[in-house]
Amino acid sequence: MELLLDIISAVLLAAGAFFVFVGGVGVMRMPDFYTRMHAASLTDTGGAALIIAGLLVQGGFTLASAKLLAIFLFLFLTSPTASYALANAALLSGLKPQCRNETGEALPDGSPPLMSSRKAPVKSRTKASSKKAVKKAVKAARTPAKKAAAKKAAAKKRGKSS
Amino acid sequence: MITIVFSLFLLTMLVLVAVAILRTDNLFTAVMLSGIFSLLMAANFFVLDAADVALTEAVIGAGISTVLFLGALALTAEKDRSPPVGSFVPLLSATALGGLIIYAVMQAPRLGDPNAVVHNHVAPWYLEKTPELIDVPNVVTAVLASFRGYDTLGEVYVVFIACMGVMALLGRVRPRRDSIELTEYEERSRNLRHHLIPRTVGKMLVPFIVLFGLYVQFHGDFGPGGGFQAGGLIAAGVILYSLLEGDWRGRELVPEWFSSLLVALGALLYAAVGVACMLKGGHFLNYSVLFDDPIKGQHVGILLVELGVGMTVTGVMITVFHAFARRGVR
Repeated sequence: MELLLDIISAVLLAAGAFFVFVGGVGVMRMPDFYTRMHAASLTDTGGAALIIAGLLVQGGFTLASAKLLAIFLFLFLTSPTASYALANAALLSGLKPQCRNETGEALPDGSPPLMSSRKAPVKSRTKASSKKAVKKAVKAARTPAKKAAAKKAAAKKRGKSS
Repeated sequence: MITIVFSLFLLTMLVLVAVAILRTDNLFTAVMLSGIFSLLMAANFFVLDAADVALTEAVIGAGISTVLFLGALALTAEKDRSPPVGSFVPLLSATALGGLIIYAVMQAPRLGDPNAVVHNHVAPWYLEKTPELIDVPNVVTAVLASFRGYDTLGEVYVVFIACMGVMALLGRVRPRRDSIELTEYEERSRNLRHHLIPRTVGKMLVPFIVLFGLYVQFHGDFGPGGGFQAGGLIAAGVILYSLLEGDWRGRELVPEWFSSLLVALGALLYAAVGVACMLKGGHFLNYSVLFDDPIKGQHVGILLVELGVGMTVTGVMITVFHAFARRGVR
């Protein structure tokens, strides 16, 4: 039983560490502020949640676990809020998201970002990555009509729900 | 070992943040970085087992002073004026001072050295005598509120006088006739009310922050914390509410006469406890004479004195924040 708990907590902790690491890599590698924040939010939510879960398994039913649970709830409320406030402040202060079309050309400021081309390189860091991005973009652009329709539907849905 | 590694990491980050503060010419960035600096410092204090100081640094340094700096920035320009270049005097003096500090650090005892002077001077006496004379688990509180009660009284009055200074400079603003008149709607929309997510989450957190502040206040004899930290925390709750709902709502919640009253009453309460000790026939701030049982006298004295500190700090923080916030509207 002990061993099983240890294994579970080790797996959770390792997964959490992985999320934190991925978040760190993302902050270094992503092209602009908004995508970087998206990467950093992995650390806040996924990483923190998994690490605290791993520690909870280690703690068992103790006061320490209760405190960890409180920290978990607190983090889950505050860190997405902080991310939202940060992104909102950046947008209000005039920082436009970097937008690219399917082939990786920069769009004029203010165009809606395209999900498929988000990873398009800014200064084409390496050859491999830029090639990859273009490939991906082309793949995504193969069905432009379908995509536009999907986008319209999504927008409609959003309008209804708000 | 792990403590050393962690401390080294934190200290390295501290140096990096300090250099970044110096290098940026955007004051907004500098304020944010100084908040990070304080938070790192708080973590460092905590690693070194100084929980009371860590709590103070986190609440005052990282929390409230950042908000106050931002309030000051709203009144001034965001960009730093470029400093005069070509003068060697600052470089020379900084180098000389830095060299002196490094030379002094070489003479310092190693971390945790039991033979260091600080561990052999009065600290053993405090550690030995606190259970016997005062009987509270947190020696820091005993030292601050009882053994060194004069120093804390002085600190409270320093905070009090600082608040009076801020009020004298920023306090009573009369609207100038030529200033832009804001309509009530405009004034009321100058806040985060239209940001639904921060408002909802923030308002949810305010009661917990205040509750934690009260816990730190009244549990200070037993755990880390005391009046200073608690005052900062409670004020942080009120300031968060004011930021989210607007300054005018914050002033409705804690009216200005009330926060000013808190400032004065807290300082008075501290001094009154000292005077009560004198009336009972003891020395100023010698709580042992308050009751027949000296230990009970110490307990009650520390509780009252910490309450005074907490009231003053809460009042000062809220008053100073409102002084800045109201100024920003005009």
